[in-house]
Amino acid sequence: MRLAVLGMGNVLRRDDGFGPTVARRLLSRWAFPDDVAVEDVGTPGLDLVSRLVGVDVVVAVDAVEGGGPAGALTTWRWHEMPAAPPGEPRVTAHEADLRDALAAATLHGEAPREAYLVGAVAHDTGDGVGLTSRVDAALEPACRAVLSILASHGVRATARDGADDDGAWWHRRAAAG
Amino acid sequence: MATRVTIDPITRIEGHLRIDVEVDAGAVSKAWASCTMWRGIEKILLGRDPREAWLFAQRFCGVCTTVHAIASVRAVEDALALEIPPNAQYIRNLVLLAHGLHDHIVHFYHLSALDWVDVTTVPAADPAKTAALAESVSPWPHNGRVALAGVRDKVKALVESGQLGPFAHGYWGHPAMRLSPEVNLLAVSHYLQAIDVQRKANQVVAMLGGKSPHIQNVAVGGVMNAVNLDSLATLNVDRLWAMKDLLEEVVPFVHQVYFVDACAIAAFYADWFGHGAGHRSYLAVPDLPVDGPATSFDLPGGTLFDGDLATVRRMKDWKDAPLRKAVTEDVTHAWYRGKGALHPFDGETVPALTDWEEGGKYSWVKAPRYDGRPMEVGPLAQVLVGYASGDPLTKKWVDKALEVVSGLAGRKVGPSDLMSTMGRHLARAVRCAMLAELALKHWQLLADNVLKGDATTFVPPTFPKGEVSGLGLHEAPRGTLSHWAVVEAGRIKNYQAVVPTTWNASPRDEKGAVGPYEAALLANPVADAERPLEVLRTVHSFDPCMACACHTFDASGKPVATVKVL
Repeated sequence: MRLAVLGMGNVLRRDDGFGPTVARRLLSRWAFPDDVAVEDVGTPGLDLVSRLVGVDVVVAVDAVEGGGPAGALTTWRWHEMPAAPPGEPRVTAHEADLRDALAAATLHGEAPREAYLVGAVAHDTGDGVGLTSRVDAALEPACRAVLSILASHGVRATARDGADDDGAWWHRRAAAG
Repeated sequence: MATRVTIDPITRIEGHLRIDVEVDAGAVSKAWASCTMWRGIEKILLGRDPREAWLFAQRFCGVCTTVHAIASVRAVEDALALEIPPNAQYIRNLVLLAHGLHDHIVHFYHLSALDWVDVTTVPAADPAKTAALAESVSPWPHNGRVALAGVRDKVKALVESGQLGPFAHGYWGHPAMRLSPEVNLLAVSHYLQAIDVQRKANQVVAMLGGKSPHIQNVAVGGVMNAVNLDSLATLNVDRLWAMKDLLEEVVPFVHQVYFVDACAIAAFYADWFGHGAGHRSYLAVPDLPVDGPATSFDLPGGTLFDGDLATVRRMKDWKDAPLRKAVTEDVTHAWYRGKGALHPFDGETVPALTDWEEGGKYSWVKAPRYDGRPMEVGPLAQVLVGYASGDPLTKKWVDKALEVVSGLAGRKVGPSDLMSTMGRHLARAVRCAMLAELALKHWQLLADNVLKGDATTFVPPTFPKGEVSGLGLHEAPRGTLSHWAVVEAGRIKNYQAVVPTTWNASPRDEKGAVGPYEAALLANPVADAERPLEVLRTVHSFDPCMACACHTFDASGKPVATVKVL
């Protein structure tokens, strides 16, 4: 069985970096079996489809707009994910979202059996590096939520001893010189 | 009386490309292209170490990450006059080639083709007829009747379910959709195959880049790939040949499927060679250096004005003095402080948001100009500049495309017909066919160089105390990308990225000259203002990639886009 945890979002736009930051924290604090891929995938647009094909269970982590106060964490299953009404056209390739990508993978024939979205409500998605405090506080619960979904599919992650680095290089500044 | 139509995608992304047109007697009489999202993301680099700028720069965009990484290191290397080793050029070239193949395949099948292919007619298709049609135009072995029947049944189930999934955002049943069910079935079957093929191209990016998206292998001074033929942990013979195997699966798909499909669609919709010409002034820069110091290139660059192939000026290399002087960005109609144009090295990005004002400021995109003129960039510019300057590889694939299209359309289609909405799609397929050939060539250049014992991939940079500035160029899938960096005492002092879509989606300038999208939309037909498919056809022909995105998921279920007719 193949599982994928996909951290989605742009790390240069504050809280939009929530998904990638969760992915980095998971990678730096836990060890995963070989059949689990934990990835910071950025903002892939249409490229998301190929990330889903051939994967059995996918857990997407993303910042969400609306649906609660900043930092509020919700987990949706595939068919519970809020749906955008169809009908109007796409103007650019950035607009394909998780639901469209799952539908394309289904048509292709190798869609995941199960898909989850773990989302935290964003407060500020303007230019900048680093999460706002309430979204930052959702990092640990989000990691736990991902680990518990993985556990429900029989996957055990092992905590790395003494690892407290959040793994997100974009939070560090290079030393002068 | 004119009707005003606004197409404004809002999505979970806070909106990027808004198009306003005035339609008079069934044709566009005025057009405005507006980027509705802040585009000053470069400011994030100020004060940073130029050696790490590329890591941040590749997050400007979620789709074209590698292109920003490489343009960024090229800009810093240019500032330092640093020559990189041949292996580093070849490895970067292979990353760029594999990315370009992946990108063109994805965007043709997953975005552009759906403007021409009506998915909802597929259930009526006869798979045997489709297979016979396919065999008459291409030797591709995966166009069999049984496989096609399977695809038809899957689409049939989807259409009957009423949930169109990946195809939920098309104008189905629009009178401007004219392909037979059989052709539509063939296109949808290739859409599904494209998902697997583009993944193979992307695997090559990941093998060299360490991961994709966001490659990890570049550095100011070269690349960080260790080359050691005797080590399992480095770039060795196994990995080289694994990449070759992947490329050899991608190349036939491009030549036998994508190229052929683009020619067929162009022939069936040959009237679209008559729409969407725009300014007909084009800019492309040379790319794919074949030596360390970048004195010789496999992809030609240059300028061409007013649709006249005889005006072509070929750029020899990235040092091209006229180019370095000619580029400016005008903010008269963009939401930044001031008016008029500045050179990117002196560029300012101070926001000054107003309402959307027809005669005032109406876009976050600045207006790039070349010697004061709006220029179109992208595959059409790349191909026309190459064709006009006699580049043999460009000529080979352009002539082939024109021959196939003329044969299928039953009328002569020539090079000047390419300056159009359909010409942009055809030029993209030509460019992709060229990239496919060059991917194998640059794999060979790398393999030969490594096998003869050269393992060098990196030259360490040294930063002077004073101020230096550099230009990093890349001819990306969507056109000319330039990063302009000013470095002082080892820190970034100014940084401007002039991206392809900025050229094409540019608003009006100080003189009132419209941008390339705006020009191309003029006189575009619009049969039904409520469903402006024709406007999208012309905008999509540029393959827009607007906002270099933000990706919040909309939990409130807002519509994907709105079309407003006033």
